[in-house]
Amino acid sequence: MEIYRIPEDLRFVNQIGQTLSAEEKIKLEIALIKLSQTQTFDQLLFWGRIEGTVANYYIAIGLNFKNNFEFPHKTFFYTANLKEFQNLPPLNPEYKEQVETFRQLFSGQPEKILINITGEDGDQPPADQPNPDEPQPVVKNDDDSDVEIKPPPKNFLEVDRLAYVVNAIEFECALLPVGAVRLTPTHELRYNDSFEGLNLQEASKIINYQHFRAPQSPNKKELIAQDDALFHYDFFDQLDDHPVGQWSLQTDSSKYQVTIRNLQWPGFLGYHRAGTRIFGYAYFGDGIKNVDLAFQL
Amino acid sequence: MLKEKLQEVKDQNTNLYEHLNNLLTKILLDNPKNAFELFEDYSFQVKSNGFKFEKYDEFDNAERSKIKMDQSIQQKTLKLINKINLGTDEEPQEATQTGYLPNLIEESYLYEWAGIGIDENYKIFKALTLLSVTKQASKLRFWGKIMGRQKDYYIAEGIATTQVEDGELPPEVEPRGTGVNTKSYWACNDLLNDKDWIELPLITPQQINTSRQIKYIFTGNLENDVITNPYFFGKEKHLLKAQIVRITQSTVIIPKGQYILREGEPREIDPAPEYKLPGFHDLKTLNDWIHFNQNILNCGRLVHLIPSELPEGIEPEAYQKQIENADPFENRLKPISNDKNAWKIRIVGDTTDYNPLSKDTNNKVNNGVIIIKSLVWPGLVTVYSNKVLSQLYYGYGYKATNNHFYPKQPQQVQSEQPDLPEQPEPNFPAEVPQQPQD
Repeated sequence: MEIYRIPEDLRFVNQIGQTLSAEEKIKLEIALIKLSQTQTFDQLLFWGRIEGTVANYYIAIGLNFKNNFEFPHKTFFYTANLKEFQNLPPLNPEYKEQVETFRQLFSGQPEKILINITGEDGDQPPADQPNPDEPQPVVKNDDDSDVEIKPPPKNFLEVDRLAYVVNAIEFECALLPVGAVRLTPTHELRYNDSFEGLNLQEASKIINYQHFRAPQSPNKKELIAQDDALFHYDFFDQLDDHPVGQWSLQTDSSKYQVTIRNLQWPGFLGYHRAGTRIFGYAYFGDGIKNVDLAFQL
Repeated sequence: MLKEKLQEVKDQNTNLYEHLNNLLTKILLDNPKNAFELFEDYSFQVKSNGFKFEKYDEFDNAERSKIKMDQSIQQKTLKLINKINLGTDEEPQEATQTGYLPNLIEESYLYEWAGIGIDENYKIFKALTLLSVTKQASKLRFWGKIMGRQKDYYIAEGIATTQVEDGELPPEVEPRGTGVNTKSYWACNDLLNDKDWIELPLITPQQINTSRQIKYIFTGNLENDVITNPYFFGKEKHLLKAQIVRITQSTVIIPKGQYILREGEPREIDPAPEYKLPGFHDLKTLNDWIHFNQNILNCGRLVHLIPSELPEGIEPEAYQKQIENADPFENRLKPISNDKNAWKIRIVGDTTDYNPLSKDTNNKVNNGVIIIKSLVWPGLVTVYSNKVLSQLYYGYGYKATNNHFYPKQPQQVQSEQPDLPEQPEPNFPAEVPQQPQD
């Protein structure tokens, strides 16, 4: 969601019953503008809100199109108190399976420990694990070429789970209308300035929307690598992932405002106003994946 | 020489020389800042629009895409938000009295503080007003929106006053107006179509119990079959009603003290005499709120069914005690703080105490908003602010579960009994006519 258009674009989010309160809007705008001044991005977007039991997380995403081959670089930021955005920590692939089993709500406290490695406060960590407080012994290879330093084991905090969830949602759900972006001759991604929006008929067909991620399917990978890719607009993956039926495209009563919702991540929606350049996506939910979807259809 | 060369590269309408002319003219006219990046775009646009540089002052960019709204949608929208007209355009007919309908527009403002955005709230409000007039429903309110795969449902809750004949009902079904079928619910897909409000049918205890075992996302079509295991006997409209009733029975909450138990009949409640809605500070914790409705029993009804023919040797009272012990009632008006991990309460908004307009400074005015969200039925939210209490559901209509959902396996299809070994038919000697005895 464009950060200067949040109040207007919230109209689409209303279709799933979510919105930002007046207080949230004011604080969010201040925090986003502060973020855009400290770090420069080609585009800063408001990604969404994950509700927790005590507090909510607000996520922003910075995109860098220039100098990035084929797909812009995405940087995520989060804040729980709406005062200042901080970087989301990088993903640690070790805990991937465990995170997927977490089904409880987020609490809203980023420092909350979810998986305890170092033991309770005050207890001694197990003797075989290096103590995180002591300086790590530097392990030198025999030929003195590379110096390996073992990173101290850290607890898995809620902010790490947040990083997983945000990256997963972005990977599985982020979408755009076909034609909204194009490649330059140097194979960088840009917004298509001549995009006038999908017309009424096209906007209600899910085939006219595509994922907003580096293409995963083999034919799209080929397409984007070709030299004439800049004359095509559909070089991203189609919205045809398994389980089939996880996407729900609906309009409001005027038929102009189209939302595309994801049933695996209830709370995610992509939106577009037919005939205009207004499009985007956002997530307003509790951050829990609906893994039972296959049984619900 | 170059010009002829370029003119040789031809297409149907134009040649390369002309195209370059047109393209450069357009770029000079528009003077964009990043012409280099947009060069291919311009080329594409000039080709598709047929821009000709000689006629550049006639060319109007705005021709490109005119927004045309469907005429019928325009008319329907206007009809919905104008004054209700039950007759036709030529003979307007005023609407007769409508029943009670809370002002959704004011309540939307409260819900916005809770982070719940009601889409198209004015259209919903007018559609409900129309429903109230056409169905003569009293005590109507917007119950919420249940999202579906293809379409969503807008749900209205009320009590229909028009008499409806239900015919013979099986004994375990609670008749209209009692038990789980106390309130009527109407569902609508398209707000602009006033005929679209369909009343949801009565439901049976069996349907309630089956709905407890399945997890389903609605499609948006009330007449669809629901294919699940255990099999849900009924169409989507029955399942929708079952879920709505389950949600309502377990999540309607009121401030403590607004109702009291009736003496002698602890299952019944009465409004407390001389009760005033408390101010902001008395409702800030979960302890101050209680359940309003009875919960649904394990058998799928609100009240146990006493069959008319009891087994021999058992008194009716003893029998009643027996089934009540097997399937006990929960206390009415129990506080919601007893429900573990089921509620989340937040306070938002401006919580300063203001002095009221009148000289009485004891009752300060506080505009804070108290939000209580259900964690068991995500999407259910209750808001309270300044003496306005309201409740809404915006969700997909299923419970939040911590464990993965595994549907019950269908029963094993039993193998056929092996055929009995066949015996040869005993051949009785054919009746031999008796020889006449000599």
